[in-house]
Order: sequence, then structure tokens, then C-alpha cells
Amino acid sequence: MKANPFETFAAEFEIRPFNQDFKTTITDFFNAVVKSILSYQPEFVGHLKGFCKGQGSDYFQISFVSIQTGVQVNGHWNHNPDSARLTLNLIVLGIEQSRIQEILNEIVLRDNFKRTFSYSKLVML
Amino acid sequence: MRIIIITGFLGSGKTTLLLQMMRYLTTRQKKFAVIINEVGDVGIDNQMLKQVGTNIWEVLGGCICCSSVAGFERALDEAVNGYNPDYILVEPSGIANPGDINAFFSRRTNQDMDSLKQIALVDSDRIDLLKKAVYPLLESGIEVSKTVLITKTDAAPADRVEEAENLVKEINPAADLIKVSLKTELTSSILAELL
Repeated sequence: MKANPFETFAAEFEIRPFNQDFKTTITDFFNAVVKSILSYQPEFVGHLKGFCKGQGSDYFQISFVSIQTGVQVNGHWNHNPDSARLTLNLIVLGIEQSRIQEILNEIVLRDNFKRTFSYSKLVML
Repeated sequence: MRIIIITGFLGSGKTTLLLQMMRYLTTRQKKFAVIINEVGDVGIDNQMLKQVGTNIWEVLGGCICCSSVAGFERALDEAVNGYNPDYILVEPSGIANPGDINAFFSRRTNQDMDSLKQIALVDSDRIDLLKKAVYPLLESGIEVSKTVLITKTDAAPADRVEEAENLVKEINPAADLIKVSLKTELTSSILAELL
């Protein structure tokens, strides 16, 4: 038995928003990830978190731990760069890492995300 | 120097509390260092803390209670010797075992420590799930902590808050118990008590 039964998964994406601001782009993507993960009925969501660093002190932090508290977004974004990097960190119990990767692959290929999001790094932990 | 360790399962509000403590200490011109631990090589909280503060030491790629003990020891030495702060705030990963962290400090003998305080955060909103999925971690955190914060009292129904409260009283009746939402800033008197 694994000492840590949670599946931990991290990925980094390059984001180039198209006809949307960064906050809306990231929130739409993150909501899609949360919805897909929950559709597989994990036993327990440790956390689903995202962080996007912009220029200077700009950042967005987005997270989900339960339906009751919903998706929370914190941070501020004052500049408008062409692209930024989004780090996603997903810790769940009851869904295999390979399935989590499939979920992300499927979302990235959706029409509304495929020209905006591209993988820059995948980490299975 | 005081060492404050904030333990709690993933999503219990550790980073939120840490940020509030950082703001409190900054306004009082106290010198502090932060050691943040994340189980993965690619973390989130470390990136966010680095955006809002300085003197942050990161221990990534494993828990400071087990696989990353050496990294933690190194970070602690660097913070103590290189920076000499009034406070060291430690946020272990959400799946670290608080009992093992407590044991680590009892083995460590050469630090200039005035006090060591372990604070456990218990997420009242998910108390039933936590009891089911990670009871040993929950129990260990409550057991070794001087203060237990029952968090998300604004989101959780009253019966879950009560369930969390009863659990704390059962495991560690001597612990100081504080119920908070963490959605709003803690009062100065609570932060002073925690620090």
C-alpha cells in the first residue's frame, strides 16, 4: 500500500488568451477541469489548484476543495501580456493519474481551449 | 526566535492563515522567515507566497515529515543562520504527518529557539470526509498541537462544526480551540495568541 494514497498530478500550460481576458480564460479552463474531475466521482478531492503569474506582481490563484465552498479566485492582474504560464496541481483520491492526464488532454483539445492552452510541462508525482 | 508550525490537511486554510500572520508581523515590524513545503516538484502555494513576500524558503518534492527531512533541515539552518528572524513560520504539505514533524523538532537540539508552537487546522466543512479518508493525519495533528483552529465555520453546517469541536475535545482536551471562518481577517488578539 502506498504511504500516500492520493494521486498527485501537476501540469504547466502556456496560455495565450483569444478574445478573452486572462481571468476569464483561466476560470473557464479551471471550471472545466473541476467539472470533469468530479464527473469521475473521486472518493476525496484533496485540492485542485492553479496559479498563474503575470508581469510584476500580477498573479491569479484559483482553487477548489469542495462543492460547498466552490471555485475560489484570488489575486490581481494589472498588465496585459501576450502569454503567461498556468501551473495546475491536482491531488485526489479515487482517480488514477493516467485518467487525470486523459481528462486534461481532452479539455485542452476542446474547441474553446485548443488555441489558447498548450502544455509546457507534465509532472506525475 | 519562535517557530510556528501550521499543520492541516489540504484545503484546510493553512496558506490563508500564513498570509494573515505575515501581514500581522509585517505591520509590527517583526523579522520573519517562511518555510513552505509542497509534496510535488511543481507547487502552487510557494509561487503565490513568493509573489507576496520575501524570505521564503521552499522545500519541494516530498513531505518534510519523511522524504524531505534533509531539505527541511537545510532550509531551517539557512533561515536561522543566514537571516536570524524573530519568527519562523512553517507550512508543511497538506499530507504531512504532524506527529513526525513534532518528533523532528524534539530530536533537533542546537537551535536558538525560544518556543515552538504547533497549530492544527481542522476543516469543519469536510470533517466527515477527513475522518473517513485521513483520520490518522487528523488525529496526529490535533494530538500534538497546542492550539487547534476549526476552520470554515461560515461554510459548514452547525452540526459539522460541532462534530469537529467534539473530535478535538476527545483527542486533545487540553488544546486551545478557536473557531474561525478565515474568509475574513482574524482579529489582532487571535493572531497575537497564535504567534
